[in-house]
Amino acid sequence: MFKVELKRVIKNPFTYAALLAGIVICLVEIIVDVIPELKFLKGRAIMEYPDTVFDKGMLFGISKFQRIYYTVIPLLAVIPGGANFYSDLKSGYIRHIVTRKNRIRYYGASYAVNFLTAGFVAVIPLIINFMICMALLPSTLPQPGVSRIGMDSENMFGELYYSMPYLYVFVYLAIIFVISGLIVSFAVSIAWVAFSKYLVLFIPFIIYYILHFSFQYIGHMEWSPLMIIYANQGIVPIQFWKVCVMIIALLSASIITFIVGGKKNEVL
Amino acid sequence: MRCCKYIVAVAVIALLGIWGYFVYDINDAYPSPEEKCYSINEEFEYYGLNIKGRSIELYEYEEFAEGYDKCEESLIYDENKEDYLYVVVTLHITNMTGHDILVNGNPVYAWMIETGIDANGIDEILLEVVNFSEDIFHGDFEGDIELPFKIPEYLTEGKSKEDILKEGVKVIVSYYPYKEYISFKK
Repeated sequence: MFKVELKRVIKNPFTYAALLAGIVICLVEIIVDVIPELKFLKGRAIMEYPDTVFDKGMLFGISKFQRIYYTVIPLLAVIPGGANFYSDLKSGYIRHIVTRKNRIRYYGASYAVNFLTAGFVAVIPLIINFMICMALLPSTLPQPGVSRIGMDSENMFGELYYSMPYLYVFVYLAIIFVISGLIVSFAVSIAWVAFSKYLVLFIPFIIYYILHFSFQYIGHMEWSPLMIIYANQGIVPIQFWKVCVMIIALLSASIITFIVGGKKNEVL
Repeated sequence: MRCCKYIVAVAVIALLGIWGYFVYDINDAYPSPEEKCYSINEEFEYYGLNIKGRSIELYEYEEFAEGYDKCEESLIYDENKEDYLYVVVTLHITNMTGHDILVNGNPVYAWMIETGIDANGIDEILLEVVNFSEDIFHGDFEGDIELPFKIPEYLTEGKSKEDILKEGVKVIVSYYPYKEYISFKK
């Protein structure tokens, strides 16, 4: 069941369109924000230190393209498989499947494939951007006094950033993968009650921004998924336990919504 | 179809090879800095100055104000002055060049301290507090100077001054191509 769902996503041309859109944003960021800054490679001031791959790019730089990309992640990541479950539901294909196959496996496969493809669509452009930055900028160890992003002991994994920055990048890509995947999972969860395909495609984006503005309003932006996925933790320092709580909350909410919606529709 | 796959595979391998060359090249040109650590009272040369790290003192605001008369006057408008830990580093400096060296032209002002992964530069207002008013190290200058730094308290939460000194405080003299620092550790 998982393989069938995965093949559907892989054969979907919109999967590649979403990836391409993300990659284009990441490439434009390199052209506009990274390449002009290469003249500062030798350092900027008396305490000279070269700009490094851990200061720039979509992961660590601060640019409008980074903001655009992080804003549209749920919109891009939902494209490959977000509406498949809804389409199956509306076309009646789901009834055909649940009478022949194990329905729990089908639901699980739909959820898992949507989660994984969303995660990959979110991180692949970032990986490409980071790889290009690696070819343009040195991987010199970042230093606290001359770090362009001002990471300190208040930030999550600050010590890891200064001692093993590549591991920090890997950990952060994993966080972006999981958060994006979970946010986009709401497209599957909400499919039972949705009245339009467009609602399904937009719901992750709406939830993403409702959460962001709600946490901003109460003055706790560090809980916002949008803030959590910024690897430079530029606006607010993030705490690991809050990331874990947010992941568990998103996972629980999407699964509970999925089950409750299914039971109300008397299919599950 | 098989031919197409072959071409794509070759193109990907070629691209990865070019990428690998660029990564190697840039990292060869800018390797990570080697560390040069100077202990207390160890001499080193720096832009014509002979420098020795003498001592380090950490103060709460009240202690700092008690020890330095100008403190309250200089920090009168600083509403958050009590939210910092004050660090005073004493250095012994000898001008080795025989001619005057401008402090502003000499990057002693740009030095930083590192406590763990937190860093801070010299606080210019505090220079006034510790009576560091020399703009020039004259040709025959030899003496002690004090460099003041401050660390926001939220970065040292739960740590006593002794803990911070046990972990070590680095006064960073240069970052690249060598990371040179005076290490104060008790």
